[in-house]
Amino acid sequence: MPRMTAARAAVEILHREGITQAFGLPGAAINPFYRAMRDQGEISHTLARHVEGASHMAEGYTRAAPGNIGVCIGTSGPAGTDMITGLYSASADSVPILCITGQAPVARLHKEDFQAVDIASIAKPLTKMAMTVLEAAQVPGAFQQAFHLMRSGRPGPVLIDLPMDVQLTEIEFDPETYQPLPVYKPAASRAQIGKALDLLAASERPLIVAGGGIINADAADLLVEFAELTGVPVIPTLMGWGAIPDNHPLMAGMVGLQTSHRYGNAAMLESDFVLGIGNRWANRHTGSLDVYTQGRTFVHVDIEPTQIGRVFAPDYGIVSDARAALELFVEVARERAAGDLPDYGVWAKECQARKSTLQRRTHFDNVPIKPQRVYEEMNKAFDEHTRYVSTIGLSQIAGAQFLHVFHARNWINCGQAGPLGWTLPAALGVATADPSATVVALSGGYDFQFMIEELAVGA
Amino acid sequence: MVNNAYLGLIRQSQRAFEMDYQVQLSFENVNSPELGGYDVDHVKVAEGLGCKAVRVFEPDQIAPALEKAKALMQEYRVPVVVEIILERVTNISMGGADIATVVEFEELAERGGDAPTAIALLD
Repeated sequence: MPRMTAARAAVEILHREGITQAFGLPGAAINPFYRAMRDQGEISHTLARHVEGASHMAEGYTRAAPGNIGVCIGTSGPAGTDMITGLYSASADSVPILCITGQAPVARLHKEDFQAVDIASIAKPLTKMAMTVLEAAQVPGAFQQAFHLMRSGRPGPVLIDLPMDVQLTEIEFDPETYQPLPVYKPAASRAQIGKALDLLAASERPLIVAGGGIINADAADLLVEFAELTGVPVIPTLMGWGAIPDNHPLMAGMVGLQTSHRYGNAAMLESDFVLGIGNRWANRHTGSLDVYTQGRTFVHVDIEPTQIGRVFAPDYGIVSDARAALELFVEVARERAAGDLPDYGVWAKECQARKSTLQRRTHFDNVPIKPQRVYEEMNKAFDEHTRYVSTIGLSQIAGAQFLHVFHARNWINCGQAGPLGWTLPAALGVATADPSATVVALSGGYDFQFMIEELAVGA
Repeated sequence: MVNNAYLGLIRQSQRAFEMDYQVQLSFENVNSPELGGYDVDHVKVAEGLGCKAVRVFEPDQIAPALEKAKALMQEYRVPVVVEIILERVTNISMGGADIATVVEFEELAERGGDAPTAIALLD
């Protein structure tokens, strides 16, 4: 059996799980891991200027393409605490990133050693697993489990904390026969999809609310196919924006208190049925639940069982991966299309008419410049393949109201956590994953200043 | 990067508390008086960090600045910062309570020329 340090075994597993890129910065307690990464030679590393920046770069990298997992690495103590904001952001938006930290030797963990903080306890509520690995022989299993958890069910981040002596201990490990664990994704049944379609068919003015789960499941094409098959207009959430192109006749606008279109809110208020797929009824999308839900029937499809009913009780809930659900929605709708599904043509035309009338003004000539004009000029300057990255503030809100997105993953937006500073490092992560793309980061001044030093990483 | 020398969203939300408190980023920058109080000299900082940067004060300069930024990106392969100096106070459409009562602070588009890049044109 090959013998190697536990750190080297961890790096071999990263390679065999498909990792080619990491972001981070070395420090005394993570040097053995960096030595193993340098010796192994298959993983590129981007040196961040701030450890929090590395964690947001990892998140941007994951979001840029289906199957990507961003890795961020730092030393013990403050490096881990700096990455907590990144774990919060990734966890809140269901984005897998793997955070690897160094740690003081096992025997000194209890002694308030230099830069030895209990990072696993701190990270616990923000991760699917947060583990200080105390036995070197557990390192392969910890990494194997980390990838299984990040990819299964509702995706999310994992933190693995490696004490110095654990990293350096030699163990038996055979990289050649390593294989990833199977990934678990719940799938809707035909009976469940049939019931959801019965409820839809009983409505007169239905909408599909398309959430980020559809983008995570790489199922945007299936969403558009299902919408076209049934003729039901689609409301993308801010996390789902791009799942249906803005210029599609069934794209009915975004809904919410801030990042919304006038025509999107009007469509929601007119509707009598909502099928939510891979969304979480975020409060900035729903606003007051009374207004949002009154007079409407709701079906909620989500990959995470405990998300059903978290915000309000839907009339019917289905636990399923968005892709698995949409495959069956398309299949069953096609069987029924012969006559069982109502014709929603008139309703879809009403939504389309609102889209071409309920608009906000952008053309202002004022000096100093009014922000609305900025997005008008961006719409002219950037083509449909532009990849926008944004986080928070009036710039994000106005950007969502006025910019256009035509493809999944071309609006890479921090949804729930909204940490100032996220935009720039996340954009660097996107640019690293897709070097040929035009990546446009949209920031206000304060967001820009929070992690301004990361500009040097891109220079 | 849009610069109004404010924490703009928090300034807007402080209207409900009748205050404009600790959200101003404006100061007299002794090294860059031409900024007229618009906070940090982001162009100098970006250049200091090895990037290229362009600053815009007028609406007709935005399009040329974005084209210049694309050319600089191609030539130098570094991040390019386009800083657009905005009016200090603009309230962006927003609802406080529910989706039926989103407040529009600006006049709405009434003809195609008001929103020439809207996804579906008026007129």
